[in-house]
Amino acid sequence: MATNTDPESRNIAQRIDAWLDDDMSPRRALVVYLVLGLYFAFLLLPVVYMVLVSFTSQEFLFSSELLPSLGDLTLYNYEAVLSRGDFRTYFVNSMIVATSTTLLVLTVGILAGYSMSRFEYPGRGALLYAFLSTQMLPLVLILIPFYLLMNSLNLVDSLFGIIIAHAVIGIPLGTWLLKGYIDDIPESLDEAAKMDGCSHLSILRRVIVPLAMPGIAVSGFYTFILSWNDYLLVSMLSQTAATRTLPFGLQLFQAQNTVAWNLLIAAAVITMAPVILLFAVAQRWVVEGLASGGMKGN
Amino acid sequence: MAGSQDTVAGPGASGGHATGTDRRERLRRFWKSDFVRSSPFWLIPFLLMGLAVYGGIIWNFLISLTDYEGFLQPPDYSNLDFEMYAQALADPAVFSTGRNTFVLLVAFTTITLILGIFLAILIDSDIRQKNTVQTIYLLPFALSFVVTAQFWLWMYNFQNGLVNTVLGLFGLGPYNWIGNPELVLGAIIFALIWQFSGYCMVVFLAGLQSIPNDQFEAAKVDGASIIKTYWRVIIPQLKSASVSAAVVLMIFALKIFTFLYAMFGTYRPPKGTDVLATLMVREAFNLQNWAYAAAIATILLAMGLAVVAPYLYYQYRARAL
Repeated sequence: MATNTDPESRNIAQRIDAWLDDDMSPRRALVVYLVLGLYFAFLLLPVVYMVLVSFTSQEFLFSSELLPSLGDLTLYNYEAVLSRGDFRTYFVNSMIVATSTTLLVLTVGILAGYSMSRFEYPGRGALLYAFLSTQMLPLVLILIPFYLLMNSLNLVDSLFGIIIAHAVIGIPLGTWLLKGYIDDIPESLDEAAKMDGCSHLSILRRVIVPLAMPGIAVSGFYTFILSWNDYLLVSMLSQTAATRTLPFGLQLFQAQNTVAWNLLIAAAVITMAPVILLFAVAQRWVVEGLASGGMKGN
Repeated sequence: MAGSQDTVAGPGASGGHATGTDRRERLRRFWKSDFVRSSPFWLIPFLLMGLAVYGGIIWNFLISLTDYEGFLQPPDYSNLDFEMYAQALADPAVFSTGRNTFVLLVAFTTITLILGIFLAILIDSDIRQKNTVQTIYLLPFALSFVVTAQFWLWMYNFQNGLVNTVLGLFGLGPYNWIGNPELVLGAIIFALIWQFSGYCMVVFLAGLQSIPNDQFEAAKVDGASIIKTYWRVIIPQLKSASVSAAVVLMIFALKIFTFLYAMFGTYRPPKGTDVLATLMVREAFNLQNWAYAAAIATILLAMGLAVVAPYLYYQYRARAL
């Protein structure tokens, strides 16, 4: 507004415009940072607040205070949650399922992505479409047939069945992402390797996999999170406590009418911890992949 | 495959006695084609996918034509009719859940898109350390629905939740966000915006950053104002980013099921936020009305296709794949 000489003669749009146009205006920078800061707080506050609350006692949760004092902090919730054997079993199950799913999807995805990137065959585009479209439909659509199928294969209530189910859901996106990254690797590199007498598999091992590492990291990250976070398929395929995964761990602290909020929130924090950790490790590649749609540098 | 068959069909049709060698030749060429040579790389996962997903959709449709219910004896396919669909269309629950699904889809997608593009423009014009900023914006997106549902359930807690406490500082409330059927849909949409607006913003930011600086400068030299530059020059170029962001958001809105499922417990109907997916799972896995649930799933599929099909067609036309 400082640059505006005659405010009466301009309409609001013009005034905002003159103000936006003034690159150096400290007031404008202040407003921009204020808006972004508010949004930032909006995004982070729930997460930070929940982590904070997970360290406080039940009494604090039901007091009317907004922030805990230092004396309110305790590790009791985590001790109570982690001392439950069933919660630990769920955690181990989640680890087994998510890791195996990721390895399976990456193996299949690298092979399929390589074939789509390097072989020309009629119908390839249609196949890609068929692949991608499966991502876009709600999973509940195939829930009943999938359950009947798994039931007839005797895969209900086994970790292996859950891994297969997650892989079926994860393979399209994994293949899609990996194909994009492999497309960015110059084909002259595998021509050269072929000259040296490499087979397809050794081209994959020596050339493609090392160069597509950022893409593999991103696909692995997405797949791991998909499997770790899944609730729907596990709720359908798992019938006993031995095959439950971590999202079910939260239910342990909810009874019909009472909810142990302090324990529930601590369990939720434990559930999201590996995701945040992975996110911190993979974030550089994830953003790069989203921003450039492919591989950069390396 | 169609192409290679066409070329071989010509001489094969002209002389009957040559058919044998032609067929052998065709077979030989087929075996040496990239299609066959590459098949070990993709055949098994594709078959698996095709069976599980496309076979599943067809099977689901078949089940919806039977009267299958009860416990796991196989469905009886001898008597197929559309009775379940007639029943579904007359069911007020299907109508109200369909309306909720639609409201959620439209409100959530529109608000998130506008917020995303607004924030992306702000960031693109001002903030330099883009990477650190972007990743934190993506964090809620990576969190599980199960976890965020519990978070928000506590945040919306009537007596002690953060939302009511903060509103209380301004002398508002307290509101019963979850218990009141008129407020709960808005509360859910707000929680979803929290989770996905950062993702939407990053997609737009990527689009904005691919637009060269000259365009801003050229518009400035021509005397265009900032708002006009964005409105007339920059935003039209974000068309493909907007379309793909919108489709991804709508897909997430259709997948909202897990969030509600985690928030409202296993089989309790969520008052005011019951969507088609929750209704379908309740009918199937709680009441064992498999055929009826399959019919509801098919209605949901129709809604999903209405969103996805134009997008896929657009992408196909643009040769973007």
